[in-house]
Amino acid sequence: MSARRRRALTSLAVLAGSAVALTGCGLSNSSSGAASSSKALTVWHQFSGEGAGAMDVVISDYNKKNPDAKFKGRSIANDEANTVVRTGLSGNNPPTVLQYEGYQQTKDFVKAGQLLDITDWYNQHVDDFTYGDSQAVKDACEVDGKMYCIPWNVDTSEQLFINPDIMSQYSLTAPKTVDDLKAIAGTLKGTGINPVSLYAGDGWPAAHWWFLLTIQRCSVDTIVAAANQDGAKWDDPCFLQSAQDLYDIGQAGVFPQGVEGQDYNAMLQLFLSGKAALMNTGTWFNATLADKATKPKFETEAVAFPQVDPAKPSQQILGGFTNVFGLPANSGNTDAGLKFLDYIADPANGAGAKFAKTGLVNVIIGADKEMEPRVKASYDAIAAALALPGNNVIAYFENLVPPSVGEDIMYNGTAALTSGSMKPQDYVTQLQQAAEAAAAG
Amino acid sequence: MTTVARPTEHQRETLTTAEQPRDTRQRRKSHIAGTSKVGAAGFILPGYFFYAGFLLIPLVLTILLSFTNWNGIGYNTIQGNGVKNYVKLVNDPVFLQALVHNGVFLATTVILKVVLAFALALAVRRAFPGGGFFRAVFVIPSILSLIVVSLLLKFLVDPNNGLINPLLRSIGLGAFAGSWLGDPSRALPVLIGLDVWLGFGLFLFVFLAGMSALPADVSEAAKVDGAKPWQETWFVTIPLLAPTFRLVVLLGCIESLKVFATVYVATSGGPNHSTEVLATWAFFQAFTGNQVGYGSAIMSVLLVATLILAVFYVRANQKGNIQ
Repeated sequence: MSARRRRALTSLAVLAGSAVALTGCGLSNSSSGAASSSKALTVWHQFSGEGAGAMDVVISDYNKKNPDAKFKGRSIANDEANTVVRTGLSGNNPPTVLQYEGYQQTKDFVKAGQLLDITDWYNQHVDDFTYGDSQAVKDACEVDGKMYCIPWNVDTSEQLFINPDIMSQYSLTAPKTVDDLKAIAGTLKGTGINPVSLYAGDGWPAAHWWFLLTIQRCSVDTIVAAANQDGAKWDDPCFLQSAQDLYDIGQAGVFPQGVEGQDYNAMLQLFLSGKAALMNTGTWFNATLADKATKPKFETEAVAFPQVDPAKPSQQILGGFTNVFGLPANSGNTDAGLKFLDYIADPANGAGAKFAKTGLVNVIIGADKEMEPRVKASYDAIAAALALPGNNVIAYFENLVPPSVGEDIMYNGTAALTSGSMKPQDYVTQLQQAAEAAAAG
Repeated sequence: MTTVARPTEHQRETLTTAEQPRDTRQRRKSHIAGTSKVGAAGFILPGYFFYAGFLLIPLVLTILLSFTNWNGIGYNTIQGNGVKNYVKLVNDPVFLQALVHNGVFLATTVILKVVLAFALALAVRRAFPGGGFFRAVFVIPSILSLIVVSLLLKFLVDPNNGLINPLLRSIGLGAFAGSWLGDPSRALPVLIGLDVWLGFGLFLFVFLAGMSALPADVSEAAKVDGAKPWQETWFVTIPLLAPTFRLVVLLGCIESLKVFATVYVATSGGPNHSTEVLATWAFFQAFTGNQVGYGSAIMSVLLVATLILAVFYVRANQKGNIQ
């Protein structure tokens, strides 16, 4: 090889290496705190199916009206969101607009300086939202008296979805009490049909059952006190009772075999394929039912979640504003982000209505006119609970406590209760220990 | 006085070393030496930057982060907390449980993979009709995507919608049907079985490569001396394959220590931590638990365990070479 060729190749190799080094060192166009920069405008969200379709339409409509500042949407799978969002925020590569789950996430992001204070903006637009000035919205978006996000969709899990074909085939009626539920399990034993579709591999589907039972046994105020470790503890009698309720339901054969081994998708599949009579999940399931790809062959109905004590029915609601939009403080394009919020919050633009049509309980004024009766019923139930005196709507409990308490003990422990592999006393003891450890830091 | 004309570029290229003037040879020698070093560095640098950027730097940062209480959301929240994370490890029952699971994983998967791979290598090392087909079939699992295989496993063992339970019932083994990944006593063995199936093929080929390099005269001498096949295997083949065994055991140990994808996709460490391993627990702590510092401490323990294995391997190899 000639010396000239060797030198040329050497130079190329050094150039390539330098390019890699410079890329690896992260020559990011850091624009912390800037109101506008040349970075691409993006919306990160966790909507899927019809909801993702609605988001795409909203972004497309916005872009048509704002050709100089076009947004690009990115749908992130729910179980990847933790990783992707944290990496984006800490890697100084956040989106312009972020859809996330509010509550504890709002507190964590604000503490890290990652969310923009939009108090002034929100005060000007509060009337664009139903429940806009409610305590429930403040729980999701407010930190130290300042607002950091806007409510978008509200979810509640206060319903059982029913397969009416199975119910009529076996002469079953919708359960109003937990005892009715156990009776249905007795009737369906040996038929190959599962009473309730529940797979708790992800943890939260089982946790929601416990949350619903706990709201009936305790009260929202007691639960909040336990979450704050101020005036109540997780091993207090009412929590033990609700854990016992869940354990007993599992022992009665209400849940399918292998309840801990499969995930939410398998749980949906079991119900949608007609192998289970009932299923409890959140109102987001309406969007799955509206999606042609997942629409079942039967017409689903929804009934209220059964009561443990029919003599003392609970009016309180498990649910929350787990779809909120916030603006990363370091996106470099906070002005564009605020403009996007202006657009989606304006009822005249119909952004909320587009989501309502997909089966989601959107809270922009007027969106309820687009809701199907089943979805409107959930919307009305939340409104009724908010209208009652006191605090009657509580978010999913893992949003109120640190992950070591929520996503670890609540998820794993309640899943173990449903299969009978953990006793109720052990569960509440572990829960309280985890809460104390988290409080101690 | 005679002057020596400086050779032209062409002469430097085309004259042999002996033909070139002496001063030119000396300059050329140093020129060649310098060019080689620069050239070598130039070709090594890109690989080095990749190595540094994707391995060394993350490794060092992980160790440094293990001494902080960082929540992973913003750099301004990084604060040192001494050895608190390591003290927390000792008192964390899930960490200890995960450590035991990794140990069980290591012991069972290494033994099963090595035994299975060696036995099959003995069976297929000589040419026979269909031998190529079997060799290909055995290696296919090792090239499959871990994510896809884990998802398929979840589907197959679904007690209500899967295929395994109906299959067992149809062949009269219904007593074994049940919850596979949902049963704490079965979930880990199922994952171990999956890991063995995925990994033994690669070891098979390592053994085949080692066997092909064995001197044929030793085996023939053993046969001449009247050794039976099992005696030849036990007294000749296995001792000669000692370095291969060491390599395979080391690779198996490292793989089982860093197992993550199959466990995360199939069970996420459940039910109730009964399949939790160090990597999945570290992942939970870092990305769900807002405890990147603690997660880094867990991974640092994993690093130390891997380094200890590597040291054992190197020493065993050196001892083997001396013998």
